[in-house]
Amino acid sequence: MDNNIPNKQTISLIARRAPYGSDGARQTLDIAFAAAVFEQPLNYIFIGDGVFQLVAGQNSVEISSKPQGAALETLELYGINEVFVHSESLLNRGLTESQLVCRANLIEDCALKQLIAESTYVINL
Amino acid sequence: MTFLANTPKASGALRYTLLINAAPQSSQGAKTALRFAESLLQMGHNIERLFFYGDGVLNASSLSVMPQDEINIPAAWHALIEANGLSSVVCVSSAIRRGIVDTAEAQRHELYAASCYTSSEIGGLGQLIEALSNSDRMLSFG
Amino acid sequence: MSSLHIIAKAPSSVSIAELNALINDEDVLIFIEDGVYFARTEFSPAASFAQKLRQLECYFLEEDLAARGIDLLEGMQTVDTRGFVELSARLPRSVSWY
Repeated sequence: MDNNIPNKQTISLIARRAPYGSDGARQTLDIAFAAAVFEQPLNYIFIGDGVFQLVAGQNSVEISSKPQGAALETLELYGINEVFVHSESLLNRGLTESQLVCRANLIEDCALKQLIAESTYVINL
Repeated sequence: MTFLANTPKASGALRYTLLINAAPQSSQGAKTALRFAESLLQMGHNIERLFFYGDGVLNASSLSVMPQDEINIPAAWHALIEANGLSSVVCVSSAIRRGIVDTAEAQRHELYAASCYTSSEIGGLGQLIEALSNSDRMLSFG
Repeated sequence: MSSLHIIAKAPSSVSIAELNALINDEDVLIFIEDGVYFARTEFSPAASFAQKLRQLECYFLEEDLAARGIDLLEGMQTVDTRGFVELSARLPRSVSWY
Protein backbone atom coordinates (compact mmCIF):
# COMPACT_ATOMS: atom_id res chain seq x y z
CA MET A 1 0.00 0.00 0.00
CA ASP A 2 1.33 3.39 -0.98
CA ASN A 3 2.12 5.47 2.08
CA ASN A 4 2.33 8.64 0.07
CA ILE A 5 -1.14 9.99 -0.39
CA PRO A 6 -0.57 12.27 -3.39
CA ASN A 7 -3.48 14.58 -2.80
CA LYS A 8 -3.21 17.27 -0.13
CA GLN A 9 -6.31 16.44 1.83
CA THR A 10 -6.94 17.58 5.39
CA ILE A 11 -9.11 15.60 7.75
CA SER A 12 -10.60 17.35 10.76
CA LEU A 13 -11.60 15.07 13.60
CA ILE A 14 -14.14 16.37 16.09
CA ALA A 15 -13.81 14.84 19.55
CA ARG A 16 -16.95 15.79 21.43
CA ARG A 17 -17.65 12.76 23.61
CA ALA A 18 -16.78 12.50 27.27
CA PRO A 19 -14.32 9.68 28.03
CA TYR A 20 -15.33 6.30 29.46
CA GLY A 21 -19.13 6.66 29.19
CA SER A 22 -19.01 5.70 25.54
CA ASP A 23 -16.31 4.51 23.18
CA GLY A 24 -16.58 7.62 21.01
CA ALA A 25 -13.39 9.13 22.36
CA ARG A 26 -11.37 6.01 21.59
CA GLN A 27 -12.92 5.62 18.12
CA THR A 28 -11.92 9.16 17.12
CA LEU A 29 -8.41 8.68 18.45
CA ASP A 30 -7.93 5.47 16.47
CA ILE A 31 -8.85 7.25 13.23
CA ALA A 32 -6.27 9.92 14.05
CA PHE A 33 -3.53 7.31 14.50
CA ALA A 34 -4.43 5.64 11.20
CA ALA A 35 -4.41 8.98 9.39
CA ALA A 36 -1.06 9.88 10.96
CA VAL A 37 0.50 6.59 9.81
CA PHE A 38 -0.50 7.58 6.27
CA GLU A 39 0.95 11.06 6.82
CA GLN A 40 -2.47 12.57 6.23
CA PRO A 41 -2.71 16.19 7.43
CA LEU A 42 -5.02 16.23 10.40
CA ASN A 43 -6.76 18.61 12.79
CA TYR A 44 -7.88 17.19 16.12
CA ILE A 45 -10.52 19.30 17.80
CA PHE A 46 -11.77 18.86 21.34
CA ILE A 47 -15.17 20.45 21.79
CA GLY A 48 -18.22 20.04 24.05
CA ASP A 49 -17.88 17.15 26.49
CA GLY A 50 -14.81 16.08 24.53
CA VAL A 51 -12.77 18.54 26.59
CA PHE A 52 -13.30 16.25 29.58
CA GLN A 53 -10.91 13.81 27.90
CA LEU A 54 -8.13 16.25 28.75
CA VAL A 55 -8.75 16.60 32.46
CA ALA A 56 -5.76 15.60 34.58
CA GLY A 57 -5.96 13.06 37.39
CA GLN A 58 -8.00 10.37 35.67
CA ASN A 59 -7.79 6.91 37.22
CA SER A 60 -9.83 4.35 35.34
CA VAL A 61 -8.53 1.13 36.90
CA GLU A 62 -11.70 0.38 38.91
CA ILE A 63 -14.01 0.71 35.89
CA SER A 64 -11.98 -1.70 33.78
CA SER A 65 -11.26 0.91 31.17
CA LYS A 66 -8.04 1.94 29.53
CA PRO A 67 -6.96 5.38 30.71
CA GLN A 68 -7.89 8.10 28.26
CA GLY A 69 -5.38 10.77 29.26
CA ALA A 70 -2.35 8.69 28.26
CA ALA A 71 -3.80 8.12 24.79
CA LEU A 72 -3.75 11.85 24.19
CA GLU A 73 -0.03 12.19 24.86
CA THR A 74 0.32 9.69 22.03
CA LEU A 75 -1.15 12.26 19.63
CA GLU A 76 2.05 14.23 19.88
CA LEU A 77 4.16 11.08 19.49
CA TYR A 78 2.33 10.34 16.23
CA GLY A 79 3.25 13.80 15.03
CA ILE A 80 -0.26 15.13 15.34
CA ASN A 81 0.43 18.73 16.32
CA GLU A 82 -2.69 20.46 15.09
CA VAL A 83 -4.62 19.79 18.27
CA PHE A 84 -7.18 22.37 19.32
CA VAL A 85 -9.37 22.84 22.36
CA HIS A 86 -12.55 24.86 22.04
CA SER A 87 -12.20 27.61 24.61
CA GLU A 88 -15.93 28.17 25.15
CA SER A 89 -16.42 24.46 25.88
CA LEU A 90 -13.85 24.74 28.67
CA LEU A 91 -15.49 27.87 30.00
CA ASN A 92 -18.99 26.37 29.96
CA ARG A 93 -17.70 23.43 31.98
CA GLY A 94 -15.83 25.50 34.52
CA LEU A 95 -12.48 24.15 33.36
CA THR A 96 -9.23 26.07 33.29
CA GLU A 97 -6.11 25.21 31.31
CA SER A 98 -4.26 24.35 34.52
CA GLN A 99 -6.64 21.41 35.07
CA LEU A 100 -5.76 19.80 31.76
CA VAL A 101 -3.33 16.96 31.24
CA CYS A 102 -1.54 18.60 28.32
CA ARG A 103 -0.89 22.07 27.02
CA ALA A 104 -3.86 23.27 24.99
CA ASN A 105 -4.10 25.26 21.78
CA LEU A 106 -7.26 27.15 22.54
CA ILE A 107 -9.53 27.92 19.62
CA GLU A 108 -12.50 30.28 19.37
CA ASP A 109 -15.64 29.80 17.26
CA CYS A 110 -14.42 32.00 14.43
CA ALA A 111 -11.13 30.21 13.91
CA LEU A 112 -12.86 26.85 14.32
CA LYS A 113 -15.33 27.59 11.53
CA GLN A 114 -12.41 28.61 9.35
CA LEU A 115 -10.61 25.35 10.10
CA ILE A 116 -13.69 23.36 9.11
CA ALA A 117 -14.14 25.37 5.93
CA GLU A 118 -10.58 24.53 4.91
CA SER A 119 -10.88 20.80 5.61
CA THR A 120 -11.47 18.22 2.93
CA TYR A 121 -13.27 15.88 5.30
CA VAL A 122 -14.77 16.27 8.74
CA ILE A 123 -15.33 13.22 10.91
CA ASN A 124 -17.72 13.88 13.77
CA LEU A 125 -18.58 10.58 15.43
CA MET B 1 -13.71 28.52 -5.43
CA THR B 2 -10.68 26.48 -4.41
CA PHE B 3 -10.08 23.48 -6.62
CA LEU B 4 -10.20 20.33 -4.56
CA ALA B 5 -7.37 17.85 -5.04
CA ASN B 6 -9.83 15.16 -6.08
CA THR B 7 -11.51 16.35 -9.23
CA PRO B 8 -14.98 14.99 -9.88
CA LYS B 9 -15.27 13.14 -13.15
CA ALA B 10 -16.45 15.06 -16.18
CA SER B 11 -19.72 13.12 -16.24
CA GLY B 12 -20.63 14.56 -12.84
CA ALA B 13 -20.43 11.17 -11.16
CA LEU B 14 -18.80 11.48 -7.76
CA ARG B 15 -16.95 8.90 -5.71
CA TYR B 16 -18.35 8.51 -2.21
CA THR B 17 -16.99 6.88 0.89
CA LEU B 18 -19.72 6.09 3.41
CA LEU B 19 -18.74 5.63 7.05
CA ILE B 20 -21.38 3.69 8.99
CA ASN B 21 -21.03 3.94 12.74
CA ALA B 22 -24.38 2.58 13.97
CA ALA B 23 -25.68 -0.93 14.57
CA PRO B 24 -28.71 -1.88 12.43
CA GLN B 25 -31.15 -1.93 15.34
CA SER B 26 -30.15 0.67 17.91
CA SER B 27 -30.47 3.77 15.78
CA GLN B 28 -31.78 4.78 12.40
CA GLY B 29 -28.36 5.59 10.98
CA ALA B 30 -27.80 2.26 9.22
CA LYS B 31 -31.20 2.36 7.52
CA THR B 32 -30.63 5.94 6.35
CA ALA B 33 -27.20 4.97 5.06
CA LEU B 34 -28.67 2.03 3.13
CA ARG B 35 -31.30 4.24 1.45
CA PHE B 36 -28.64 6.86 0.73
CA ALA B 37 -26.34 4.25 -0.82
CA GLU B 38 -29.15 2.88 -3.01
CA SER B 39 -30.07 6.38 -4.22
CA LEU B 40 -26.43 7.27 -4.84
CA LEU B 41 -26.02 4.34 -7.18
CA GLN B 42 -29.36 4.88 -8.91
CA MET B 43 -28.32 8.49 -9.58
CA GLY B 44 -25.12 7.40 -11.28
CA HIS B 45 -22.59 8.11 -8.53
CA ASN B 46 -20.00 5.63 -7.38
CA ILE B 47 -19.35 4.15 -3.98
CA GLU B 48 -15.60 4.04 -3.49
CA ARG B 49 -16.02 2.14 -0.25
CA LEU B 50 -18.44 1.33 2.54
CA PHE B 51 -16.61 1.40 5.86
CA PHE B 52 -18.31 -0.09 8.91
CA TYR B 53 -16.87 1.17 12.19
CA GLY B 54 -17.67 0.77 15.88
CA ASP B 55 -21.14 -0.73 16.32
CA GLY B 56 -21.54 -0.32 12.56
CA VAL B 57 -19.73 -3.64 12.07
CA LEU B 58 -22.95 -5.39 13.13
CA ASN B 59 -24.32 -4.46 9.69
CA ALA B 60 -22.16 -7.28 8.33
CA SER B 61 -23.56 -9.97 10.62
CA SER B 62 -24.65 -13.05 8.71
CA LEU B 63 -26.20 -14.48 11.86
CA SER B 64 -28.94 -11.90 12.26
CA VAL B 65 -32.47 -13.31 12.26
CA MET B 66 -35.34 -10.87 11.88
CA PRO B 67 -39.08 -11.34 12.40
CA GLN B 68 -40.96 -11.85 9.12
CA ASP B 69 -42.34 -8.34 9.01
CA GLU B 70 -39.03 -6.54 9.63
CA ILE B 71 -36.30 -5.70 7.18
CA ASN B 72 -33.03 -7.55 7.61
CA ILE B 73 -30.50 -4.72 7.29
CA PRO B 74 -27.34 -6.87 7.12
CA ALA B 75 -28.94 -8.98 4.38
CA ALA B 76 -29.92 -5.80 2.53
CA TRP B 77 -26.34 -4.48 2.69
CA HIS B 78 -25.08 -7.87 1.50
CA ALA B 79 -27.45 -7.81 -1.47
CA LEU B 80 -26.47 -4.22 -2.39
CA ILE B 81 -22.77 -4.98 -2.13
CA GLU B 82 -23.01 -8.14 -4.23
CA ALA B 83 -25.32 -6.66 -6.87
CA ASN B 84 -23.05 -3.66 -7.41
CA GLY B 85 -19.62 -5.17 -6.75
CA LEU B 86 -18.97 -2.68 -3.95
CA SER B 87 -15.93 -2.55 -1.74
CA SER B 88 -17.14 -3.03 1.82
CA VAL B 89 -14.77 -3.07 4.75
CA VAL B 90 -15.54 -3.93 8.35
CA CYS B 91 -13.00 -2.51 10.80
CA VAL B 92 -11.13 -5.42 12.40
CA SER B 93 -10.65 -3.96 15.88
CA SER B 94 -14.33 -2.99 16.13
CA ALA B 95 -15.40 -6.30 14.59
CA ILE B 96 -13.56 -8.91 16.63
CA ARG B 97 -14.58 -7.18 19.87
CA ARG B 98 -18.20 -7.53 18.81
CA GLY B 99 -18.00 -11.09 17.56
CA ILE B 100 -18.05 -10.19 13.88
CA VAL B 101 -15.47 -12.57 12.47
CA ASP B 102 -14.76 -14.17 9.14
CA THR B 103 -13.65 -17.79 8.77
CA ALA B 104 -9.98 -16.92 9.12
CA GLU B 105 -10.47 -14.92 12.33
CA ALA B 106 -12.81 -17.58 13.75
CA GLN B 107 -10.17 -20.23 13.20
CA ARG B 108 -7.36 -18.04 14.49
CA HIS B 109 -9.18 -17.37 17.75
CA GLU B 110 -10.76 -20.83 17.96
CA LEU B 111 -14.29 -19.47 17.94
CA TYR B 112 -17.52 -21.45 17.36
CA ALA B 113 -18.46 -19.89 14.06
CA ALA B 114 -17.80 -17.25 11.47
CA SER B 115 -20.38 -14.48 11.56
CA CYS B 116 -19.46 -12.01 8.86
CA TYR B 117 -20.99 -11.91 5.39
CA THR B 118 -18.28 -12.73 2.89
CA SER B 119 -19.31 -9.71 0.83
CA SER B 120 -17.54 -7.55 3.42
CA GLU B 121 -13.85 -7.76 4.02
CA ILE B 122 -12.36 -7.46 7.50
CA GLY B 123 -9.78 -4.74 7.30
CA GLY B 124 -8.19 -1.78 9.04
CA LEU B 125 -8.68 1.95 9.40
CA GLY B 126 -5.95 2.37 6.81
CA GLN B 127 -8.55 1.32 4.28
CA LEU B 128 -10.79 4.17 5.38
CA ILE B 129 -7.92 6.63 4.89
CA GLU B 130 -7.08 5.05 1.54
CA ALA B 131 -10.71 5.28 0.40
CA LEU B 132 -10.86 8.94 1.41
CA SER B 133 -7.83 9.69 -0.74
CA ASN B 134 -9.72 8.27 -3.72
CA SER B 135 -13.05 9.92 -2.98
CA ASP B 136 -14.81 13.17 -3.73
CA ARG B 137 -17.23 12.96 -0.84
CA MET B 138 -17.55 11.29 2.53
CA LEU B 139 -20.68 11.01 4.62
CA SER B 140 -20.97 9.40 8.01
CA PHE B 141 -24.08 7.88 9.53
CA GLY B 142 -24.61 6.91 13.16
CA MET C 1 -16.33 26.77 1.28
CA SER C 2 -19.73 25.63 2.48
CA SER C 3 -20.46 22.51 4.44
CA LEU C 4 -23.58 20.37 4.57
CA HIS C 5 -24.46 19.76 8.22
CA ILE C 6 -26.48 16.59 8.65
CA ILE C 7 -28.43 16.80 11.89
CA ALA C 8 -29.88 13.45 12.91
CA LYS C 9 -30.81 14.06 16.52
CA ALA C 10 -33.75 15.80 18.13
CA PRO C 11 -33.23 19.29 19.61
CA SER C 12 -33.01 17.91 23.14
CA SER C 13 -30.29 15.45 22.16
CA VAL C 14 -27.82 17.63 20.33
CA SER C 15 -25.71 20.43 21.71
CA ILE C 16 -26.82 23.77 20.32
CA ALA C 17 -23.57 25.28 21.60
CA GLU C 18 -21.57 22.89 19.46
CA LEU C 19 -23.78 23.46 16.42
CA ASN C 20 -23.31 27.20 16.81
CA ALA C 21 -19.55 26.79 17.17
CA LEU C 22 -19.16 24.89 13.93
CA ILE C 23 -21.91 26.07 11.60
CA ASN C 24 -20.98 29.15 9.61
CA ASP C 25 -23.04 31.61 7.58
CA GLU C 26 -22.65 29.87 4.23
CA ASP C 27 -23.45 26.38 5.41
CA VAL C 28 -26.49 24.32 4.46
CA LEU C 29 -28.38 22.22 6.98
CA ILE C 30 -30.33 19.03 6.42
CA PHE C 31 -32.40 17.56 9.23
CA ILE C 32 -32.86 13.80 9.06
CA GLU C 33 -34.06 11.02 11.38
CA ASP C 34 -34.95 12.50 14.78
CA GLY C 35 -33.48 15.78 13.58
CA VAL C 36 -36.78 16.49 11.80
CA TYR C 37 -38.22 17.35 15.22
CA PHE C 38 -36.51 20.71 14.74
CA ALA C 39 -39.42 21.39 12.37
CA ARG C 40 -42.12 21.32 14.99
CA THR C 41 -43.63 24.73 15.58
CA GLU C 42 -43.63 24.10 19.31
CA PHE C 43 -39.85 23.92 19.26
CA SER C 44 -38.37 27.20 20.46
CA PRO C 45 -34.70 27.09 19.75
CA ALA C 46 -32.21 29.20 21.63
CA ALA C 47 -32.19 32.63 19.98
CA SER C 48 -28.72 32.15 18.56
CA PHE C 49 -29.74 28.98 16.76
CA ALA C 50 -33.14 30.31 15.71
CA GLN C 51 -31.32 32.99 13.79
CA LYS C 52 -29.26 30.39 11.97
CA LEU C 53 -32.39 28.42 11.09
CA ARG C 54 -33.88 31.55 9.53
CA GLN C 55 -30.77 32.65 7.66
CA LEU C 56 -29.38 29.41 6.32
CA GLU C 57 -30.62 27.06 3.66
CA CYS C 58 -32.37 24.32 5.67
CA TYR C 59 -33.95 21.12 4.45
CA PHE C 60 -35.97 18.40 6.13
CA LEU C 61 -35.97 14.80 4.94
CA GLU C 62 -39.46 13.87 3.75
CA GLU C 63 -39.39 10.23 4.73
CA ASP C 64 -38.52 11.11 8.31
CA LEU C 65 -41.16 13.86 8.57
CA ALA C 66 -43.81 11.44 7.28
CA ALA C 67 -42.73 8.69 9.69
CA ARG C 68 -43.12 11.03 12.62
CA GLY C 69 -46.38 12.59 11.48
CA ILE C 70 -44.88 16.06 11.29
CA ASP C 71 -46.86 18.30 8.97
CA LEU C 72 -45.17 20.32 6.32
CA LEU C 73 -45.24 23.98 7.21
CA GLU C 74 -45.41 26.78 4.70
CA GLY C 75 -41.94 27.84 3.69
CA MET C 76 -40.39 24.58 4.86
CA GLN C 77 -38.04 23.08 2.33
CA THR C 78 -38.12 19.32 2.14
CA VAL C 79 -36.15 16.82 0.13
CA ASP C 80 -36.37 13.09 -0.33
CA THR C 81 -33.30 10.84 -0.20
CA ARG C 82 -32.46 11.67 -3.81
CA GLY C 83 -32.53 15.35 -2.87
CA PHE C 84 -30.25 14.54 0.07
CA VAL C 85 -27.83 12.96 -2.40
CA GLU C 86 -28.01 16.08 -4.58
CA LEU C 87 -27.18 18.29 -1.61
CA SER C 88 -24.21 16.12 -0.74
CA ALA C 89 -23.00 16.33 -4.33
CA ARG C 90 -23.40 20.12 -4.47
CA LEU C 91 -21.49 20.83 -1.27
CA PRO C 92 -17.86 19.78 -1.00
CA ARG C 93 -17.98 18.64 2.61
CA SER C 94 -20.41 17.23 5.14
CA VAL C 95 -20.45 17.25 8.94
CA SER C 96 -22.70 14.70 10.63
CA TRP C 97 -24.34 15.19 13.99
CA TYR C 98 -25.70 11.99 15.51
